[in-house]
Amino acid sequence: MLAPRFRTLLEMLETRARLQPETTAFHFEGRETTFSELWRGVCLSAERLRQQGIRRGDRVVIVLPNGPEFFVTFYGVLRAGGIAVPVFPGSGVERLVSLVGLCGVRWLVGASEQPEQVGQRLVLTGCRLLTAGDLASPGFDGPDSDEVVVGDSSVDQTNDAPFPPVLQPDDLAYIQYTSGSTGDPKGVELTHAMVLANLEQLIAGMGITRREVFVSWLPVHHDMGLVLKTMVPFYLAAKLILLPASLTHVRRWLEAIEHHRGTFTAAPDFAYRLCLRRIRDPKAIDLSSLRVALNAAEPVRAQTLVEFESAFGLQQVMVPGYGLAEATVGVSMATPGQPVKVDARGFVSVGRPFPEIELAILRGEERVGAGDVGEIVLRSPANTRGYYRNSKATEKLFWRQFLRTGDLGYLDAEGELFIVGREKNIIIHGGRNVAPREVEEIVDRLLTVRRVAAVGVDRGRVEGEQVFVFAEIRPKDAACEADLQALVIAMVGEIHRELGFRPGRVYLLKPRAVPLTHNGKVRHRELRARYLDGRLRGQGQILFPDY
Amino acid sequence: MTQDVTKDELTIAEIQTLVSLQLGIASVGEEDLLVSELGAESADVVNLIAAVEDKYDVVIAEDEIPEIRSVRDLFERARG
Repeated sequence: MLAPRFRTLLEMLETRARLQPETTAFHFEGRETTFSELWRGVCLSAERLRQQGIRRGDRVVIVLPNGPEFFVTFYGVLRAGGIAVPVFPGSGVERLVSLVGLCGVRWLVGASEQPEQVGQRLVLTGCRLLTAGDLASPGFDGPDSDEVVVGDSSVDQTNDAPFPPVLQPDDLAYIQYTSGSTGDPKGVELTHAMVLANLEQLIAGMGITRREVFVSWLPVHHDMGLVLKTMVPFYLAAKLILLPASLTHVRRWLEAIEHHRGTFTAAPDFAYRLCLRRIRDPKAIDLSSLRVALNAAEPVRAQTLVEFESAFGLQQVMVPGYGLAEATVGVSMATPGQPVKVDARGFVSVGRPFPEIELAILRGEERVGAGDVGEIVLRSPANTRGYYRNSKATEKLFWRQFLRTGDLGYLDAEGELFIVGREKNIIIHGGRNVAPREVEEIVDRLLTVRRVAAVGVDRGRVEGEQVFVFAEIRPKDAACEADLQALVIAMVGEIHRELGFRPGRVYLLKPRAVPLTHNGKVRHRELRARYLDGRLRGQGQILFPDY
Repeated sequence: MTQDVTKDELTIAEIQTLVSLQLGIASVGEEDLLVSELGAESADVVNLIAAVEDKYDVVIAEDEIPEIRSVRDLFERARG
């Protein structure tokens, strides 16, 4: 049994502020924030949230990019007794409004430059828009900064409830939205105890110590960036270099590792491939300080491991891992410093499960033995108890006491896990899970569209998996080039407005170009295969554009 | 998947159209800045560059990306 050191995430942060007040909690954009500064900001923000009327159990949506404001807000919400709902900072208005409705949210904290239309739409739903500036920032020295003292406890004037409220390990800490269209919300419920259990599993399973130097550009609103790359260093008071979540400057990431002598970094496979493609002088960057370059959150390619290590002169540093938000984040990782196992079909071992995680492979309702492929299921104290306000999806999530991952894999004779595929057609677009239906529903509304399919396309050489949209249109609507252009512009614009991201590419196809099953369902995998091997283009099925 | 157009014939209007399609914005000016004026996010810039690479058969390296700020910069780079 791993001994829990903290009862809640807040106790973890408060302990750091008490025991290591002057230790740097994180570096961000050339600025260091100590644990005592961070804690002061958290207390101040909790106080402001209380003044706004936030009470125990209230959900607060957080729409903030990487940076100090995120942490101050996230932990401030917890201290005020609330439940944080961190979401992608680029989320479109429609998505935010729909989330607010789903969670019954009355507060949303965004960046100061939040567009006015967001505020106007939210007011109509009864939700208040606060900005991170309204709350606090670490090191905040405004006129009100004296009102909060570390460990301060006061009485709530309005209902005499003690402030801050006493949190319990089984209280919900945050809800992590993973995917699902507006009709199928999947907000993973995570308690303090679950998250702390996973932190302990990660630390023990990955052999992480206080001496580790974390370097991360992963978005802090999402599991791997939030839990592994910020909570683990906070837990241990290890050094953390946090970068903005950006794909355009991968060189900054590698140079930060070199400059700070980083020992632990993590990214999905595509980010490492992007480095190989974009960095023309890999030998000029010294990454020899790295102990672990975790490759997780998307299918791991054996070729990426070999090519990245060879290009940057590393050995047995890139280790594949596996996890999912429903198990907080981490489930397994291969062992650093040892050769990574690759099977005959090119699938890569993601190692053995972390301590206190029991993993099984299920076919139908039966557990199968070593070597047999089936659905990966797991039992762990870090498993969620279900999806927020979605009992239908929650019922399907469990098999006995085991969590169904929806991923396909097998265990080898030594108990190492190999992932061979996903059961669903979920697209991992820039680290965010997108259900094809979310995108298809939007495009379907355009009258000229006959049939649409959204698939994840990863061309190996480009920026990882991206949402590609394939829309069949009626011949009479394809009168001229300008019509085709206008249609694509409308589709991209609508997707961006509702979902907050733009697809990697939109193609307009001839009628009957999208492959279907006998029952008329779109065959997403077959469509992707036909696009990638050039059949779609070769058979003249693509009307527009010509690249 | 490249066009038969030689790079000398490439016009800035073609790049404006390509940016329009990729960003879902009907009107794109020659001097518009991709991020601050057109609202492109980092992933959009990366996809935009991939589209230029596909259409004009060029390869744009990581260290060139920070230099590509406007529609005109993209045009200059596509022309080679």
